[in-house]
Amino acid sequence: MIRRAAPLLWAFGLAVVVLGPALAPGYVLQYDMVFVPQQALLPASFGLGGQLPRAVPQDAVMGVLTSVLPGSVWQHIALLAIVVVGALGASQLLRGQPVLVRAAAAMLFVWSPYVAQRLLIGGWSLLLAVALLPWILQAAIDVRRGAAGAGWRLLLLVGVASLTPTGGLLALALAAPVAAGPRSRSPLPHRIALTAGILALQLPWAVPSLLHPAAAASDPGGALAFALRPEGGWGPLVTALGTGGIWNAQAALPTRELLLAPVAAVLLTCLAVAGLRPLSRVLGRAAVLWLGTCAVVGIAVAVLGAWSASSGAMESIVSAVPGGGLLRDGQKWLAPWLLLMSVSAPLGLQRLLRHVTDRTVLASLGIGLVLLPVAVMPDLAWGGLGRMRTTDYPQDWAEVRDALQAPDALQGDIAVLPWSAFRAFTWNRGRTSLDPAPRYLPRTTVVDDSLLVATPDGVVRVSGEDPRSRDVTAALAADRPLAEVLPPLGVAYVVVELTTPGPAVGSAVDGLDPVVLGSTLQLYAVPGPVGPWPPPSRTSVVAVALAFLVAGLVLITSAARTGASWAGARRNRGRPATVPAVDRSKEDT
Amino acid sequence: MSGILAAIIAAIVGGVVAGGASFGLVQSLTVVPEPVTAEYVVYGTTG
Repeated sequence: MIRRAAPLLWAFGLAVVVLGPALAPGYVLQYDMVFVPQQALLPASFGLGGQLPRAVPQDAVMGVLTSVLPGSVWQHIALLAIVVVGALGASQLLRGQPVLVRAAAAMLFVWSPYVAQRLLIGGWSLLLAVALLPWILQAAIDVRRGAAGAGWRLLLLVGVASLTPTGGLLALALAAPVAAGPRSRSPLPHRIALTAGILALQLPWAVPSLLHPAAAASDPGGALAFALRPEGGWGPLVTALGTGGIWNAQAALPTRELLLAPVAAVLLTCLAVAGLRPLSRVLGRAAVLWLGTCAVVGIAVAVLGAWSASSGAMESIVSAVPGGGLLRDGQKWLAPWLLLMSVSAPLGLQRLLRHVTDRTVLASLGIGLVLLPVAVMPDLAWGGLGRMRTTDYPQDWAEVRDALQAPDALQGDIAVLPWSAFRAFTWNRGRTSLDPAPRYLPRTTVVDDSLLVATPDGVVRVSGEDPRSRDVTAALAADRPLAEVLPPLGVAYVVVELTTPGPAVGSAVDGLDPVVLGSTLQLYAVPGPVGPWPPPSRTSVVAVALAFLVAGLVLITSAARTGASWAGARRNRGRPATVPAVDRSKEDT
Repeated sequence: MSGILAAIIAAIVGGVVAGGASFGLVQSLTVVPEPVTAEYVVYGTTG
């Protein structure tokens, strides 16, 4: 019993060490990670807002989940799951291997620059998808080997990973070719149905993206602003091999600049290459070949955006190719390499030491590999040495939400000031976070959707897509009163967030009627009649509804079938096996 | 392999792990963040 529970206990212990103060009660508001007590289900939650659907269906799912339990509970579950699911996943891919090999794989996967940097920039839904990648790969391999029920399990895992476009694409790219590619033992109709199911799970973000007027026009400036950032002067390639290089220096830990970082990157790359052959024996040749292909493509995307010789081409792709904007944050595509390196490097070390019989040497080198990630990046511990901490929303936020839900409240949307996308509230210890208002408030908000990025050449503004946001930006720049600008845009209220830096509100609220005047948040009503803002077209609504319906049916069915299969396996545990075990040694695959 | 050689290898591995972690911690804890002077909040810094 203790032996079976040990990996789980170890993974939870690792999660506590990594997350530390982020697990305290409250909310971690950090860059892109914004959870709220109860998230409203709005058109934007389904990708029908003014901005491109970058957090779809994540926002719709959180809208449903927070109607059951508060957002802080789901945030804690998500953060724990990233570490626990990721560590156990990397370990289970190497089941049957010595415990130190499996522990090293788990540590390399979780205690990695990739996970650290994406945690610090708040990319929780992407990290959840990355944590599921080992499980997705295992399920895809099981399908390939013809294991019963593996297809439903794969669909369930891909569905959970597809909370955001990037997570969905990573899961799709890794799973479909392995499970349904040539020489799969799964029957052809099953492979076709499985591929269709995996594609159907991408519909909730793909359909609104294609229907959005800005689908083909991301700001090319984003390609340069969000390109991989070489760390410590070692160049883009070594940085990418080390799985670091997030564009935002504020989300990178100081130890990434030290010499040990590139040394470890090169060492682990060499070990990973040495481990490819034994990894092929464990996972099958086809799976490793495909994982390697995904890893190389991911590294290429990350590095090409950072090299001056090729960054122009990346800008063209981002601005001209529909969906090309997904490539602009190149470092996130290093996830397949992270997985390959994590599971291959321990096997590479094991292969190099195959003639060594001294147990002291084997144990010390094995433990050394397990602890290498900590030695290279000790400042990930305790939530990045206290960078990730919880806070609570001031009471003013609940009062403003209640006022907007009052029976006599005006009809119309909300504009949010100060006019900028990010906040650094004093009640959040000055930490940078995305404005919580669009998720916290129960109505559609009009916010500044452009992104300000500080570069060595000055501050760059990466344009957003919402036409109403552009109109308000122009009006504020011309110093026009909002009381005159907002009614034709269908905006009936203005929310002013205090205790954060931002463009001065000044006279923008002159002529508005105060409704709630708190010390941290204020609500003003726009006087006079407010014109209706055209809702999404009926065609768009029907198409998106169908997309969610189809994906939801696939997800629910796969969850039910996986649950039934799991329950059946538990019932049969202990009975004599009636099905011969899969002989891995005879697979090509 | 002699016991002495094994002990030396173990000591080197332990030294790299402990030394790297200690040095990294000290470096990280002694970093002085640049003061934020902007009147607005930027998404991040690429420099």
